[in-house]
Amino acid sequence: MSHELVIKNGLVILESGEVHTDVAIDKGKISAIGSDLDGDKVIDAKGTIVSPGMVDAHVHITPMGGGYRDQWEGYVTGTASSAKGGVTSFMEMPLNQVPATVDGKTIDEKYSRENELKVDVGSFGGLVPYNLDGGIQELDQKGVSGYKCFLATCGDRSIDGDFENVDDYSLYEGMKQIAKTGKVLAIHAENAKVTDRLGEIAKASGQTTLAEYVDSRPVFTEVEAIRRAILFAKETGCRIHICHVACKEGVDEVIKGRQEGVDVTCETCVHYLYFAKDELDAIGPVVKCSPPIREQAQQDALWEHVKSGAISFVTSDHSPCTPDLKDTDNAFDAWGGISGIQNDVDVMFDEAVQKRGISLKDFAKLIASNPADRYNLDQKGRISVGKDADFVFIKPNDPYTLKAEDLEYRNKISPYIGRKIGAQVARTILRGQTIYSQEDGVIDSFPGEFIKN
Amino acid sequence: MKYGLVIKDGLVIMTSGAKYVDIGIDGERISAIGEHLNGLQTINAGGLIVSPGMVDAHVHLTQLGGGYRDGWEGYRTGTSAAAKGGTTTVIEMPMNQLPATIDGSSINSKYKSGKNKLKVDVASLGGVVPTNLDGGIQELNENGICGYFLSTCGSRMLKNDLQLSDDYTLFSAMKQIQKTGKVLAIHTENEAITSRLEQQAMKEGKSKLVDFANAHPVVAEVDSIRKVILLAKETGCRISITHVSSEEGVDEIIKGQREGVDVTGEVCVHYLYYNTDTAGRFGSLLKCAPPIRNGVQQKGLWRNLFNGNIDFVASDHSTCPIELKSTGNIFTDWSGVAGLQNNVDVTFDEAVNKRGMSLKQFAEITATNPACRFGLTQKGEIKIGKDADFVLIDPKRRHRLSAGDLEYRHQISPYINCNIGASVVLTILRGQPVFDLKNGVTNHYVGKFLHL
Repeated sequence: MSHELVIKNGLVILESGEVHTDVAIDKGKISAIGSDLDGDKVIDAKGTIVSPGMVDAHVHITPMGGGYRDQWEGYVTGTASSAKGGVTSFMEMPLNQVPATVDGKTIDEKYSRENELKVDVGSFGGLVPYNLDGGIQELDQKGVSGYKCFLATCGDRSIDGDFENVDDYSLYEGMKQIAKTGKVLAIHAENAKVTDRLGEIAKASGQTTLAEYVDSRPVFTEVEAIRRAILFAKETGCRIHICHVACKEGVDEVIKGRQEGVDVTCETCVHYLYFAKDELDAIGPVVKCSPPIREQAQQDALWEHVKSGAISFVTSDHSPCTPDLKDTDNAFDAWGGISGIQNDVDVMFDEAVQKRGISLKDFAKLIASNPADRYNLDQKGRISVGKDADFVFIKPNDPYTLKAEDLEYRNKISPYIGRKIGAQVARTILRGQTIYSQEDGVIDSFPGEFIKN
Repeated sequence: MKYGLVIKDGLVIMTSGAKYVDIGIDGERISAIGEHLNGLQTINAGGLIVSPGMVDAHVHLTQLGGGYRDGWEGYRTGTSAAAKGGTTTVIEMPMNQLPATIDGSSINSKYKSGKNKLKVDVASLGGVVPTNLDGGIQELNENGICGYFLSTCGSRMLKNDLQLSDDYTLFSAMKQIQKTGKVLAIHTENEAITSRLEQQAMKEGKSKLVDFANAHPVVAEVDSIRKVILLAKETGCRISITHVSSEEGVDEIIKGQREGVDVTGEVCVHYLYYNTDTAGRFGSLLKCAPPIRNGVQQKGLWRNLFNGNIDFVASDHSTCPIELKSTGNIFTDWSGVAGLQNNVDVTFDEAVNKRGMSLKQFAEITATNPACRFGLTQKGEIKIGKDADFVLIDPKRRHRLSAGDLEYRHQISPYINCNIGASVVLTILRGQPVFDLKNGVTNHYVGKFLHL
């Protein structure tokens, strides 16, 4: 029999490891894996590694700016850069949009923009102090794949409908409600009071550098919040995930939590694995984020935890803004957030596989299978018969230097500009359809869909 | 040679254990321990246990009411009750007084207000609040406090009261206190959770003691304990967790100790004596935070006290005028238990008589350990050179406590009508009897403030 499409000659990363094999696709799904498959159409993947398309479980898009953030990254540019970067699906955060995604009505506003998607998008619903009387349940019914809350201070209180961090009661009560949905609560874990106050004091004393900003958010502020979240999870039975862990000690708490039977996982972001505190001020506010990028020793320790599997997956925490918000000499004033989704795969492949010898099998888990499993995106994340035919073709050992004009972002800012990256994304396929290739660029149409659980 | 005073024939609890031995006292201090000592004066302690006077590390007195709490327990009644109960040293909390004790000026007002009003010795904890991080902590240190106290939880309606500390205050204060080398005692509960659960319970019309307990779940206590231990680890500050009420809380203290944190835990007599089943009928008389919990927790606390995971017992004596305990709503009633006078007899009966605790350990948990923890080097042990502070206990003399027995300004106590199987028969402070069964409490104010 002949399949609609066959990918030939690639080194394909299966769950059991990489193998030179053909992959057949029918009706957007993987229909066969084996030798000498026939296809009506054939894509030659020679010289490339065929990986499951990345599932980036931490992405901020701002389709609705509410009159405040209308020029921020929308779905069109956000999903175009995903396609170009080899990310075939991502989990969208419930904040930066105005209004924030905290109930049925606000998530429906997002869903109404499906014609702007070039990749598939799963959604987080927000947990905020003001949606404990029905919002959580509405979001569940609307098909969110998980929830998200902030322990660090978050949101602009002068903007009606903006996201808001939880107090401890809302966290505790929210976890009790979310436990009943069986879905995972993702948590930005930093101690709000201590980081806020240390930041105010640093700023008032005239500090302006990124290194000083890092010092105003010490490791213990991250660790304390992680411990608190894990304790509440143990108490409520809520499944939790710690976002963007930026220190070894934070991962250690996650390991301890799991040993105590808590259903807790964690992620780190590509930028914590790539940059270190020493170089931040040379790069500028574009590399500001929270928790902050810490010392080289912490980066080294995070890599060890990535290798050991203690860190379940990597994400971009793509969180772009307009350039004016990064245009300041005072690190404390700059918007915190790094644009990174387009360079998830190439940077990670270069750093993890090429430079540090992480196996292709583990690479695919880190970027695709593990995040898909955690948020129950059961059609995503692995090259296996019956799954969505989502792939990224990677050309190994083929360095290029990232230029601003390469970026599909609405605002072309990225800390990776000017960096030499040792691998390239050659092609991205979403449910059997090529949405990006080096020859033809990003697809003009919008084949992406919202994933609903 | 003859000693000024000899206590003869008692079973004396020394750090090495209990032994029939005489104690010689000259002036205010112990000058000899041995057999056949002769004294100018002699006290016959035959049939009695001679224990170091209790050091109650957690007592609220309110000599300065600031116009709002003028009718509360003051130094005269508070220290009389201490003397009658066998407590020779109280460590006074920096709160309930108005203003709270948070700087040099407020502690000196206390010292002044207590002059010639003390029947036992009084050491002081200095308070930590968000507003005394710019000098107050150091002033307190210079004015002789033996440790610090802060609270993460509880309602504070009055401006001059000891305000709650947020996480930044906790962190910043610990960095400052670490430099003094003194211990920070902390009331650990997560205020955001307990206050909201209380509000909800009130809205639902709940009014029982158990409803109050349910609004203060174990997780709120444990979360706060974990937080302060982490911050202590970060800052190097020495800490004591006041009134641990759950086994899970003790577990966190043990974990902290294993990680090298200088942390200890205290429990109060009422958490050991009562549980939710037996406490319910007392209503707000036994309202305290953290709350008295169920029988499983009570057993767990006893186990941890026995095996040394809990460092000492205290009263958390916190009394108020009776009308504040009868507002008609458990949630608006004053939170606090009056217990100072029955520290020793109740603990002896419950720990030693009923549960077989060794006398050596009894002295450790009532005297030696709290004295050591707060640096009261003259107190807490029967040893040559130490202050001659004793409580003489008749281990078999049963009594039923009546309201009229209480020296408190307000005769309320959860132990009224309880049959207590041991009795304090004599209390000696620095060589002077301050209470005996026949003559009652001394009329003299022989106590003093201890300055460190």
